[in-house]
Amino acid sequence: MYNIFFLALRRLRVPLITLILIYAVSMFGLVLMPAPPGQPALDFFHAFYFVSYTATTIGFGEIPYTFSPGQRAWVLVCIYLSVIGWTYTLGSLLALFQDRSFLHALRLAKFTLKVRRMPTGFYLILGYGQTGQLLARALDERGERFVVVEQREERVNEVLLAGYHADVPAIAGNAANPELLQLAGILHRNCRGILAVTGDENVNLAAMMASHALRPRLLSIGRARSLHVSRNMSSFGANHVVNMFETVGMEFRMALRSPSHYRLWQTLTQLPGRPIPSLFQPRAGLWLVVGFGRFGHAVYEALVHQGYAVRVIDEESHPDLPIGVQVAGLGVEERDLREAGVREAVGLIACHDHDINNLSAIATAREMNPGLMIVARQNLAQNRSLFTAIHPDLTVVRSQIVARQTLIAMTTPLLTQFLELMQGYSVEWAGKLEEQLLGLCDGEVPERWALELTAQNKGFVHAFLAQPLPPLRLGDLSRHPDRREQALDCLALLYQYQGHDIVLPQASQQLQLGARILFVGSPKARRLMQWALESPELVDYLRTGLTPPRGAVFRWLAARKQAKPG
Amino acid sequence: MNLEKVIFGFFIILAFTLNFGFFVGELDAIHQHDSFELFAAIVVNLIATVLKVGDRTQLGAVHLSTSLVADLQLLVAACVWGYASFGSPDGMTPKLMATIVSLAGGAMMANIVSVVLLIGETLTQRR
Repeated sequence: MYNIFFLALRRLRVPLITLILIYAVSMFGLVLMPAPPGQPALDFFHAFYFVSYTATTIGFGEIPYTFSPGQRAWVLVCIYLSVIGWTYTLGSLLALFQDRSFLHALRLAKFTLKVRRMPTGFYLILGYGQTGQLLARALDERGERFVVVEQREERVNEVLLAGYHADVPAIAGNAANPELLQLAGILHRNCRGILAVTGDENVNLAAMMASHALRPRLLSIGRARSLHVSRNMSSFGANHVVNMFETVGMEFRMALRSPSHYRLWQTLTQLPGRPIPSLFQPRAGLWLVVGFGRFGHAVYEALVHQGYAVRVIDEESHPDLPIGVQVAGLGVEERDLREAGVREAVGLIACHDHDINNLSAIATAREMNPGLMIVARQNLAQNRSLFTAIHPDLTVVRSQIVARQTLIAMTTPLLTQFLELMQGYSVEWAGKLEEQLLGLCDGEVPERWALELTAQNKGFVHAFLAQPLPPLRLGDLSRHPDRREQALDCLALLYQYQGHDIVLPQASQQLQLGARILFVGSPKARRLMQWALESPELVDYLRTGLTPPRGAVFRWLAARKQAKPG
Repeated sequence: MNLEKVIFGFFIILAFTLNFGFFVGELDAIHQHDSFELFAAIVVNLIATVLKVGDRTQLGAVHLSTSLVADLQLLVAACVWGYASFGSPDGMTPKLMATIVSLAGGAMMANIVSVVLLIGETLTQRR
């Protein structure tokens, strides 16, 4: 703000000097002009008074006495001079506030000030496209603060219209610029992490490099499209790289191998509050892949890996494919689909990066073979209603995949570990756990949170150090802090202590200081649990069922009562 | 020759010389100090201030602060003069004039610093 003030003064230098000169000339002339007979000539004080009210067109009249003709002649000059002077100055001032570069400087100054005053931890979201918006929404629902840097001005304005709970500082600019990143708070002590999800992977790479150089231990998550950029990103620092096409391949392999695991995986990684997706059960047989870009490659490899027969429909020829697998064409016409064998196929995957082509291919194929399983790739969020109407068995949305992966990486490393561990369990186990999760939040995706049993938490200090008996058990944590009989809608997925992982720990599990627990459950359960752990009294109530006496007198009375047996 | 430098130097020196012109004379001699000269000094000082605004260097900041000091002192002096003409029961007295002139003297010191800075800046310039 400080610099803006001087910038404005500097731009207004000429008008201001003109104004000073006009005042000086007017006052000087008034003092010199002969007064009417019997009166003294005007002094500087009265001259300044007169010019001030005349120049601003207030016009009190002739003060302190009726002017002589000479004075009136000079006042005429003053009036025209001062009107010109003020018009010029005000005009320049208004022009200044219309000036794009000045407005940008003003916005930048406001943005910097807002970021500097961020009271709590915040994330830095680079890029406010579809992915950025999903992430922002998810963070906002969790009550987290964030700052947005976006290349395009109109998207920045969308931030203001989005109606987030907290004030979101947003600025238009290139996220690859380290200066801008610093203004956006990358060096701020409350900055918790940087999420580089712009559409340009090179900008993401530059931002992650900047974050690595400026704050090496900051959580940084970057989105990559191509393999070499994603390798480049993971080559430095402790950060996460989200490669959409790799993720798609991985998810699809999981879906083909074990639908239960895939659904569990979806439930644990989806944005909280959305409906849990229905079970996707792919059938064995011939699958058609329409469109063979990077997305198509990823699903093709997953299908081949699983041993399914695959035909690919694509315009360009791909010599790396085995002979007879590819059918030339866009895949939207009957001829292409018939040639690829749509009548005997069990499933079709529309992988074009163009939504209308995908929809067209699906519609044509459905007409020819109504029993076909459909997997659709949706590129633009705005086409959601079209995809809902056509109702594929599985819709893969690019922005959601990236946002989901980013949230996993952000939430807690425990979740990633659990997702890896659960792959080792049987399909029945996954199905049973899935049933439990469905019940937690009435079919909505539950929230995930990690509990670190450290000395930072008042309740844990009390339960582990001040009064270690009776031991705190896992079951105590998942009870209602007001009514102990009532269990909270949550489930412990993973208990980690000194490198040992216990998947789905028992309620009787005794807790140790330094352990970490991954919970899944309703947002309300999360709030209640965190509230309970803030106060030693509630922790005591949870593990004993008794409300300890508060205050010195009552404690003393209770101690006496205990000392007197019977 | 740079016209901007000429104008800049002109106003700074003029502010100093006008200020000095008002200041010379017996401290409390009413007839030796002219109101027109004080008026001119104030106007030129204000212009010099506006010219100095917006320079982001360290030297520019000191320049601006000297000007602000001079403005403040001269404006206070003008206010005292106004009080002497219309507020005080005895009109202008030698004591009031001494106050005005010493305030202007203070402003002159600030203007001297400004001139010294200007000269110093010129001397360090290689071109």
